[in-house]
Amino acid sequence: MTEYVGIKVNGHAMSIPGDVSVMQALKEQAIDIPSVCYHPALGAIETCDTCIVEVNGEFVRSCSTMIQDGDVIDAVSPDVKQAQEIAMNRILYNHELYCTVCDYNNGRCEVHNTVKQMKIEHQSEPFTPKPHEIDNSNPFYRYDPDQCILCGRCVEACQDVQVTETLSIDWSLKRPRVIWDKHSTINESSCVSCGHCSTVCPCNAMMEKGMEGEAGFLTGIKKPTLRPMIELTKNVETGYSSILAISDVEAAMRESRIKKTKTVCTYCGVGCSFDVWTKDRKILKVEPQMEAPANGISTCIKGKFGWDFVNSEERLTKPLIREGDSFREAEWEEALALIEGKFREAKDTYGPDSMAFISSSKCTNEESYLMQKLARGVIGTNNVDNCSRYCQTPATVGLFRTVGYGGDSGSITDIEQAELVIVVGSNTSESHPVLATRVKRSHKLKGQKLIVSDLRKHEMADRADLFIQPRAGTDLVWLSAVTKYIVEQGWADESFLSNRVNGLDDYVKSLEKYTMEYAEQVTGLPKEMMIQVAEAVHEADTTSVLWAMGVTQHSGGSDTSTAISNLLLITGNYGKPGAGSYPLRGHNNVQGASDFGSMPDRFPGYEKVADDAVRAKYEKGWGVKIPADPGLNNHEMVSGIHAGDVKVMYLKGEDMGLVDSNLNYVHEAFEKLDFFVVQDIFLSKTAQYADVVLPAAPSFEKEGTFTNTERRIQRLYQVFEPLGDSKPDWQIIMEVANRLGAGWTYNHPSEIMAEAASLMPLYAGVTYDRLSGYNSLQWPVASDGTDSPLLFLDEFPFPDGKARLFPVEWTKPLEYEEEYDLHVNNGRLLEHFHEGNMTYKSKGITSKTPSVFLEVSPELAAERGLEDGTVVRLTSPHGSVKVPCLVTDRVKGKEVYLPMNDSDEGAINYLTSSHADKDTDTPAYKEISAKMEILKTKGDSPLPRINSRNGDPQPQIGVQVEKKWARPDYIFPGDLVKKGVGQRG
Amino acid sequence: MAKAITTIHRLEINEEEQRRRDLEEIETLLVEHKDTLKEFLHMLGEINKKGGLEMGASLFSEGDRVLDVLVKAIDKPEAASILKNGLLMLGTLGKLNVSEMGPLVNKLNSVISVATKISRVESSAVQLVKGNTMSKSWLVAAAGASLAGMAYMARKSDR
Repeated sequence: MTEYVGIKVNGHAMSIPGDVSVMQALKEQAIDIPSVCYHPALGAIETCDTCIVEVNGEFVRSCSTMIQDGDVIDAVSPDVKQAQEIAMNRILYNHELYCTVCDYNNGRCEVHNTVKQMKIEHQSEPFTPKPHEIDNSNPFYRYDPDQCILCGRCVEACQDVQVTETLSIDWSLKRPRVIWDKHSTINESSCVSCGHCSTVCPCNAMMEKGMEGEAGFLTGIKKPTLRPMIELTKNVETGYSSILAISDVEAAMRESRIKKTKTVCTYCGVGCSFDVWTKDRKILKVEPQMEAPANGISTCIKGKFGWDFVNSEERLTKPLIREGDSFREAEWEEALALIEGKFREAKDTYGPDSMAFISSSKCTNEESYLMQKLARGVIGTNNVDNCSRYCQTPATVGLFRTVGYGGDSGSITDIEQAELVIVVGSNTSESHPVLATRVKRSHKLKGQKLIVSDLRKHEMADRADLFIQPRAGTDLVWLSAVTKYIVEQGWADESFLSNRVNGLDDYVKSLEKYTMEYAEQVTGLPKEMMIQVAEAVHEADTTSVLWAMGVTQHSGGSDTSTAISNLLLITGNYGKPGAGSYPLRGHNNVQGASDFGSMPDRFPGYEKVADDAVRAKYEKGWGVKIPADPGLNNHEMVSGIHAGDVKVMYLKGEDMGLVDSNLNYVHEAFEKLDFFVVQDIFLSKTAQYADVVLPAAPSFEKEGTFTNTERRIQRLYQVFEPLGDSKPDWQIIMEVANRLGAGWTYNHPSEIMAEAASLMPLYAGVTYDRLSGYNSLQWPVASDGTDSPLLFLDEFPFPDGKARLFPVEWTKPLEYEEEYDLHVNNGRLLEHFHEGNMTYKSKGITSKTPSVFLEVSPELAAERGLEDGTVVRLTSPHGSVKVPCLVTDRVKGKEVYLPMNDSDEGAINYLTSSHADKDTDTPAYKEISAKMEILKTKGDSPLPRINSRNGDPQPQIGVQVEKKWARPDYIFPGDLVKKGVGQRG
Repeated sequence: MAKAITTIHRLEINEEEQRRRDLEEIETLLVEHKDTLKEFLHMLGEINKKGGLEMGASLFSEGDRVLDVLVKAIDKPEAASILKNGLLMLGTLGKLNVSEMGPLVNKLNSVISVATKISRVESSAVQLVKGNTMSKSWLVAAAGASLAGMAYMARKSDR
């Protein structure tokens, strides 16, 4: 309960909540005080001094001074104004003011706005250039030291929000500047190009290159002409008010030519949302917003800078029809007529179950809904699936078994506030970068404890308080041993268990074999380490467990996910803020694709196809008959094609020909199809096997919704018209359906959502109105629009409201012949998204990571004579890949790591098998072993010097403003005013 | 049943068909904006009569060079001063209340006409002092002093 305090502001007494800074208190009273360095996402930085006021007769920085009872605040006296002006003049000494010809003159420049606010007409000391060059080395943004006001926002963001810890200010220089690592150029530093610095920069010092020369009416002027214009402007200035008025006019004019559209990122499951600034078809920049619910001002390299693919020349703009050994472009009429003919033929000749439909974890919710409606309602088959089967279905099953909902139990803010975070089988800082920043920040600044279990020593492992490396595929064993230990120590949450959980006795009995000794033997972990984990969970009031493919992509992936949930139930870590289970969804819409029934046995909302009452509801809603038997999942579809049962496939927005396991087997299946329709934005590997390729529109070119890993439903707005003859997927599916007599009449995706919401209780209250702008809803959403940021507060969605402990057994991972002596771990990379269909279209991203590489340990390198650039062939029983090596201690012994970013000879799934999780058919991608052969001893390192992994980050807390204050040329403006000195000195 | 293929044969629209499509598109635009176009063409016709179109075309085609020359030409201290003083003067004028100054302006006008007459008479006096231009200056200065004096007197009496 916040206490109120009595204060006096400019002579007026008032009572306000006491836990705010002086600045916040003044702003809430609508008292205008300047501030430049302060940013709500960064807190008080204390570098600019413009927010100085008097509190109880003392000059203080209002941003960092907390209100206390009885404070007397003066924000308007001449002395206060003088102190503020001294501070602002120091800023102008560091920043050349040429607003009208500046690319950042868009109404948001803090320098411009504060000069205006303070009514400063002239600066007391002229700007003098600094002895530092502009750094243009990074492909995405540039730093201009002459414009840098040394506010430190970028440093604060890099050190304590993104926590890559690259930036700092060198306060020891005569003219300080921002530096990367230890004075590297930007491009040769540890900078991961996340974009935080350019987002928070209050002026044009740190700016996105997309804006340069594009944003203003006069900003594209060549330098030889620009310099005299700037000089003339400065010489003519009678006062800044006149100059700023002109630039304000120019800024207002820009609104007509720069479009700002809100969208949701199409890459990973974090679900960042932001504004995209565009001019005609040019993307100027991505501008995150404080109000974005999942990410605030944060982005990663892909979300901030990875949009070149939208305008790539390789985009499909016309339907393609196979003719002999090539495609020819065709008009839509011809392509759709062909599809209609072939679909009718297959359905009439072989029956509806001879057809299979693959929806997409990248496309919108509405598009997933329509794809499964086409399959079920028009064709009459339940053969529908999507790529979440390749990754997240085991986690969903594990959660359905235990807590009744297959989604994250809370929000990213819960992960942020957890006392303990355990990360199992997730390379979070590369796979879910923005989500990882919350963990890194809490760990760095707020005492959050971090435990990581992984084969590989990635960034999260490096930062962890405890890093455990169990043998591959043995997580269930140590998790169960830890749970058993907790129970035996009497640390189980008895009250939670007795009130809210069923099945305790059977479950405890099932734990008998998971002794520490057994676990030690199976996992290779010392029992002391496992006891440490148990103790950490016991000591923390709230524990959140994050997991990903290292858990799910195993033969026992569902059971391991279940074991995680069991541990959380035993310790009462559900239904309270900061606690819970967080399987981190991979794609932007993995959650949504499953939510909307792109599964062979479930309707939208996870209701079962075999349930007569549910089926009747959909039959009535759609006016059709729907088959009762579950259909084939994507794995079974491939087998079905080989068996001759599946003849026709319609696939959208997925590169199954690269991301399914055992690629040779999958490609052979594609070749056997009678008719194959692929709908995509590029001619993907999968599309190369198609008979008809339909050109689809990416997220920028349509409306719709995505559901992120937090179960958060967000709207995306259309930025561009579809390129060429491409169309949004929902329109294409509707046209196909209507060719087959469906009679659908959707005019806008909002109508599709309205229909879906009327049928699925999970989304009952979801409407486009409720999702307008940056509003979002986390399911379940009741019909009155009440949503559920935190699940299980009162009960679990089982008939008696109680969760269920679910006994599980360890499944031994696949074993291979001795010759396959290397374990091939695999997964994502920060810069590229999966195989890189979209990200390789970015020159900047490709320059940083031009190709795939195989991480090999120093021990293996020494043993086999490998070095950076050695090209090797890895061969498993299912196929082989050819890839260059990178020697690194991120892997150890005979563990190697092959990331996914290749669609050619280095594609990981040439090695993987069809072996899968026993409960869900999720391929056991992590259970591969291979043998190695050297093809070429010497070669260039696959990771160029400019990759951020070669950098040298310099961790510190914030901008270290104390170093600025300690400089001999610094005097606090308040002290100068007291001395009666009116200027810097 | 098909192997992976990557070759795409683009749909080629022959020149005639493309031209037909382009013309159709332009025709639609023209019809839709008929009234606006008529006004615009009328305006262009008037500008063209005055040679404005030719001048504008040259200005745009040599725009970079023109801007470069212009900016460099005015990036001189005296040009900056002229602009600055001009802006200051505008600012000052903007602060004057001209309606209050009405009587003063009238008096100034009559003083100027007197000074002019003096100036004409004194031309012969100047001639008497052998065309010494300094005398003319003295006269102007005297006239100016008279003006100032009279202006002062006028203000005093108006209060």
